[in-house]
Amino acid sequence: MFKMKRYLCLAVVLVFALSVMLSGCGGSKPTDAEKTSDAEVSTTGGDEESSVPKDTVEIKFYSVADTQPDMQKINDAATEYLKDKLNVKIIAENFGWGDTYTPKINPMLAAGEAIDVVFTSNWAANYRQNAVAGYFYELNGLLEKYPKIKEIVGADFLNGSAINGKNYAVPTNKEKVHNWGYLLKKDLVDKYKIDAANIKKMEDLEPYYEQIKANEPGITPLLTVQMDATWHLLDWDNISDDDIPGALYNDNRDTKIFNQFEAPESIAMYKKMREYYKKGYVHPDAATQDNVNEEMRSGKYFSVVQPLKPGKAEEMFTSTKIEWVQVDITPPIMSNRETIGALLAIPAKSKNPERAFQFIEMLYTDKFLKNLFVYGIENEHYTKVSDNVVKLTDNQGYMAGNGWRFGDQFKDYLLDNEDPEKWVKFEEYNNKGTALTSLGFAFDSSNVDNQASACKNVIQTYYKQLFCGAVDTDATVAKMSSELKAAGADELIAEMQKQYDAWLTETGKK
Amino acid sequence: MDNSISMKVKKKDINAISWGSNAVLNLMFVIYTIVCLGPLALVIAISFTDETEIIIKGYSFIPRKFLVEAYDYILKAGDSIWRAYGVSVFVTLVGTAISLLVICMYAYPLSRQSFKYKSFFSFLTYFTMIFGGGLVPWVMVYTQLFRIKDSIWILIFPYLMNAWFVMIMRTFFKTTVHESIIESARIDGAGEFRTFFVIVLPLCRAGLATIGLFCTLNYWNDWWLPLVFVTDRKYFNIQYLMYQTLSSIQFLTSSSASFSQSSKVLGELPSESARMAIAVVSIGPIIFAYPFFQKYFVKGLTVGAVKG
Amino acid sequence: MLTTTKSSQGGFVKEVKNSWPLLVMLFPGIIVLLINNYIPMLGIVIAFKKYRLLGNFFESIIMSDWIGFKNFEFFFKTPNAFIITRNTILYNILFIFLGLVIPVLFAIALNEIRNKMFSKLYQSVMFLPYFISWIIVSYLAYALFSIDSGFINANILVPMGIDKVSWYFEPQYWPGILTFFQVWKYTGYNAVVYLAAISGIDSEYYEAAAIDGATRWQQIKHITLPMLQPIMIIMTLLAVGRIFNADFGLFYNVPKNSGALFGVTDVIDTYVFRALRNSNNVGMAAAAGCYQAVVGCITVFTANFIVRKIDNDKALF
Repeated sequence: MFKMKRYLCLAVVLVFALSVMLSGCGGSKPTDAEKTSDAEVSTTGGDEESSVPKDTVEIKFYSVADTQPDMQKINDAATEYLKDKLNVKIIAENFGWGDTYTPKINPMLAAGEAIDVVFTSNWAANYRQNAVAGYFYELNGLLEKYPKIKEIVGADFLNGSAINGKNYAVPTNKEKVHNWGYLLKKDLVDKYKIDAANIKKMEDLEPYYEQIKANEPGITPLLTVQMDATWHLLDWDNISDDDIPGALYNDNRDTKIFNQFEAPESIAMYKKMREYYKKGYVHPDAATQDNVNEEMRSGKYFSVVQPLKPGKAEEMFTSTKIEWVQVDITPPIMSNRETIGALLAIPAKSKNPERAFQFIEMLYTDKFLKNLFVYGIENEHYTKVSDNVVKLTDNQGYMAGNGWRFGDQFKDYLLDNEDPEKWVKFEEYNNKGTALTSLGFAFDSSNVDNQASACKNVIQTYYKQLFCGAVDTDATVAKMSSELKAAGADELIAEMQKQYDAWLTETGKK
Repeated sequence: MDNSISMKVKKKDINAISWGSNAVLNLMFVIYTIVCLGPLALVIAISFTDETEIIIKGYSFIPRKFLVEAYDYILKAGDSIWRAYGVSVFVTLVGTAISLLVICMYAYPLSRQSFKYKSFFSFLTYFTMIFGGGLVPWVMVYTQLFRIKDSIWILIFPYLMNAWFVMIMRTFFKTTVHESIIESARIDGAGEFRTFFVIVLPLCRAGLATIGLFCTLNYWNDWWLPLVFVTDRKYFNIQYLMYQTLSSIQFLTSSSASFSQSSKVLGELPSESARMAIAVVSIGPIIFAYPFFQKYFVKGLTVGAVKG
Repeated sequence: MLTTTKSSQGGFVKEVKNSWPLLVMLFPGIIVLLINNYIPMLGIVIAFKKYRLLGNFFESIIMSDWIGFKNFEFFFKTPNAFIITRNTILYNILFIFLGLVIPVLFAIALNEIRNKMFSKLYQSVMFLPYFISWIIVSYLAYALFSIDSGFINANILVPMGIDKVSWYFEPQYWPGILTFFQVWKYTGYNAVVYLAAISGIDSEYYEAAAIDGATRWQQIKHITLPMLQPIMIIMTLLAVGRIFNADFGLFYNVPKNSGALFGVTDVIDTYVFRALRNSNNVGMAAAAGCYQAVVGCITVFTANFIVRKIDNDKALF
């Protein structure tokens, strides 16, 4: 035993000695590099804006979307295009939707990897937690120096994504309100002569579900995958991430924060889904599927709940190559959901934050670059019909689409099946939305970090089967409630309420 | 009994179980063999099944229509699969070779009675088996201190040492190579290195084959390293490709002209059967490697693990 | 103490002079161990800190705020700590037991079968699952248990007029399913280990026993099993040492991350991974990892201590 102890001590000493040595030589360099890049931000002024930087640097740009076979071609084209503008080598990659993106990005951020631009949001790559943990570069200085993003997005919208006045990411310039509803598969809508205008609530679809279930073998009436579920028709005004308890009603009725997962409306929704599940309206394997785009592409579903906006159905054609009909259910709302629904951040360890920021800026200002990442390469992945209208080819090498992920979506080309007035409608839509009282409130979770992640764990355990109705509602909700209690949901919500009340007083909204 | 009559019957036969028990045992093994092969047969069957048949009838052992569409598809989709396949083959071959060398060179001194610090260095490996610093520090070391993320080496390096394999190898050396052999080599004027490479290693072929097989499996079946470290798809291996395919089959679609002009909607692609076909293709090489190792395997385990 | 240090120092120089080639041989392995294992071990400190990214690896570890046992406190306050510990230990106990009994039985039976060609064939086939990666095993499991089109639901239960079973939501089946795949994958391998041990037993023992009129059953009971005992003990102790480490591939891939099953499928390793993935809470993940490492360490030292008592040569260190 004695011998062993001695060896243990020796081993520990050895490890420490070696690591100190390594930290000595490994540590100094990055800090120097950081300093110079900081200096660059402050000293080099406007004169550099016109000239092209001499050194070529790599920009690693990681985003959500399915991995695209032709990504390399896009990267080459972008690098070529930016050569005499930013002189950067673009290394862009997508890691799949939701469940594959977040686990890939989170450890990279925590380990401080030198990535330059990442997609983040309240539903993927945990924007708030990662920002508070110091994984993102603070952008206020750069936003001052390169003011174009602020001009395009608008100061209010930009501030909506800030945490304690600090911008850790920039939101996509897109619709500023949201509503929820269904996308219905067009061929079935035509076949069953469904009048989309007459569908006002989820029950209105039930007769069609019944018909489709009976007559269309191989077609599942309702697609629900993870968070893409009818649950969203309740449209909670979530204080933090979608899978963290704490929400307000979406009609400004009061300022009391509660646990939306246990609200009576939610429980009624779980029960409804249970009924659907039993009737076979939902795919039996729904709770183990994890990629909504993949399922939509498969063409095996009649309806799916999605966040809507003008022209959503046509937009989804790019990434699914299936025609959809859009059915609005909830009223348009302007909430924090939009300000942090799609953001680009620069990770703290980026070697060239300034160049990365310039690249991000170009996604807002440069039509060619933006469309390259959305539609791919002209005459290969799409062809131009007119100046601003494109048609997709049969080539499936690049179908990322989803222009709302970054930059200025108003710069996107329109598809030939899209409304030529799409962007005008966007503006109208933006004006239609009711603004929520909570708009602009940013919850700082640093005091209740552990409660938040423990609650998140609990929700992650239960929500999928509740949302698709695969399990008995009452028993599962009871289990979830008791676990949430143990995980500190009450403390979490109390902290939210405290901050929210303080914010209300501060901004004079109370 | 008739064997009391014939004295020529071999001793072995006298001392064996009855034919009845033999039949029972055989039956038991036949059943277990089916259990072993069943799930694999199912995967193979699905890879030949028509997509619409799966949707309507579910997965079954006997496809009503025997189709090679899925294999056709992965052949054409090609690029990413074959590239990943190549990465797997390279990593497995190179990784196994280096790993074998590192492990043997580490295990050999530990097997030597005369080496004074053998228990310290043994402890150094065993300790890693039971204590670790966690995922994030581990990732940080590779991405920040040694910066070999996104290269072929990150798929090789972390698995080079393995305490359990070192232990087996050490025991193997200990029991196969007597100190007297090493002593006589020294008297003949051979240095330690010469002795090790020319005399010791050739004696331990069975041990090398055993550890070699373990390393091969380690590398071939790995999906964890690419999941954690690789972002550049050049270095995706076949297992990770399958992991990705679970959530999105589009990853496989290729833009090669011939393929895209078939103008198929993704929904019509044989996604279920293609997944299974990739699984079948990925099992292939490792199964073929087995007979190569099998010759030595039992002996390697006998000496290395059993007597150890 | 002082004198021993001195003398061992003198001995150290001499020893290095004598055995430098051996030390050189150790070198590559030491480098790998340092990089892959020992330097990351410093990260265990994160469990006691509010982790922030503050510079390079060491800076982040050293400069993050010290918060003592807060991360642990929190981890143990949730029911998860109990559930994942229970699952990890119970599964491992079951796996150790089955990994001992079934392979030993199979090895003995394989040895008894009269036709050696069949015996070889069974061996080879049994070994096959050992080659299959957990990713593929998860494909296999899905092909069998998919609620909609799985073989069992679609082609056994439904034709028999039984309702489909929602496999991925009903936890009661999963201890069985996970155990099945674990046994399926490892039995062949373990059986070969024991078979190797049996083939090492001198056949004279059996001949002598046969002459004395012992039946084959008696021979197994009194010769084979006692001769197998040491290896059985070693294999079991090795497994006991790893009782806090679950097979990540099995528990992560096969249940397809279905939340309804976490009560019976979540083990320490998967919990740590999910804590990182879901919320990037490095501190809490580190606390869970540290707990696993420390308790695991204690178990191994205890196991080793017992082995040392039984047979000094067989001890791990």
